[in-house]
Amino acid sequence: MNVDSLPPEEGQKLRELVDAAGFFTLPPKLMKPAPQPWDFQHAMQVEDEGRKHSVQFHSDAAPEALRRLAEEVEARSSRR
Amino acid sequence: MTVYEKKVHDLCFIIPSKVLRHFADRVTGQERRALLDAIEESAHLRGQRSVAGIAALTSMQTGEKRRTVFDARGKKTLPGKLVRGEGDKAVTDQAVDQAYDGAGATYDFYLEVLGRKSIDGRGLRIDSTVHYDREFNNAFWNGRQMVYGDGDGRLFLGFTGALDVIAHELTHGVTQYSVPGGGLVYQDQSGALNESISDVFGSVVKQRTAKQTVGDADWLIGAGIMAPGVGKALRSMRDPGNKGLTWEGDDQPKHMRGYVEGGDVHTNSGIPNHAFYLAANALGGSSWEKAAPIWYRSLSLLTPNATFEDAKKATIDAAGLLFSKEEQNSVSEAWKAVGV
Repeated sequence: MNVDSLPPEEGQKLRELVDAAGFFTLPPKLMKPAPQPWDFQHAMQVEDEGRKHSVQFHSDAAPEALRRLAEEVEARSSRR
Repeated sequence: MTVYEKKVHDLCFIIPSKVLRHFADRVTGQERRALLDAIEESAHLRGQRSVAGIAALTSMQTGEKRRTVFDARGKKTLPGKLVRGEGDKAVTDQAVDQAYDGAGATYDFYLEVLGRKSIDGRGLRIDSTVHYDREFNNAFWNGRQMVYGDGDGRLFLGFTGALDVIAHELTHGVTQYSVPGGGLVYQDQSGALNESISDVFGSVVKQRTAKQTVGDADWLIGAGIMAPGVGKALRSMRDPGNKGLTWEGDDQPKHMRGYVEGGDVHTNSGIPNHAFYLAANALGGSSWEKAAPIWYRSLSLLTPNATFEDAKKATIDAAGLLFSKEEQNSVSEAWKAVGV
């Protein structure tokens, strides 16, 4: 998803969510110690101004701000 | 700024992500979008249930067989409209009756063969929802209930007619309650064991319902859910990785030589699956007479991060607890034959 191609307000919201999550400082993996068959796992990568960072995480092991970011991205993806 | 996000590891859905992606890579347009959407939708729903699922279970214990079937009527809201309760007559909707009967056959197996009351051992009510979404290419246990799509008719024909699929998914719940520490961790070898145990009891429930001996059984998982020309089954326990028996993307190994480090749990499960097949055939008769009780007894001897080696020891110990040295030898040789 190219944030810069979104309407300005929406793009700004996503940028704020990325900043609130401290995405570029997160560890590369935030996983539950004992995942079960019904656990939910994401892989997210953000590229911005030469920086690139990836995080793999279970929803239940992610900080609230990261979960909100994932939900927003998914919601936008499903509307496309 | 560019953001990439995807769900990984299609967990606990009878059709793994890798299968849906395999077919998505070969089609275009709406058909491709529908397959990719199925992966996304499946994961989204899992995300919704992961918090509430386990807490809700204790409120539905009844102590006896209790089944309810709901109709989602093509929508995604669960559970949907109640269409059949325990003891109600069959209805005109085949999917409803198949879901009802499949849950019943699974419940009956666990009670009559293994002395277990439902998924949690305490009579948990088994809820099922059919006609989930439109052309949804999957079925799953979400921690609280069974959910069945209808399939798109081009790749998958529906899931309620496959008893092993139903029993497979419900068995994930059994495993969670039976392995001390909260079940088998769903990754690496413990995850492959988790998958294998569901295939084992899925197949055994199917065999028992059909009154088959180990020689009669086809040992296929998910036979009949794929459209003709697409595939015959998801997996073979008799010959893991034999695409002629299953489908073109079957990558299961049947020996540790083919073990995939860090591989999909649905891939490496071929090895313990084949061990069960070999053990059951060595023990003879029907799979629910000795092999299934041994495998079931072994669950309480496992730990959440159990390896194949741990499962070998647990099943050998279980065979000794239930039977004799002869059965232990049969189990030991089976694991040895798959390289464990």
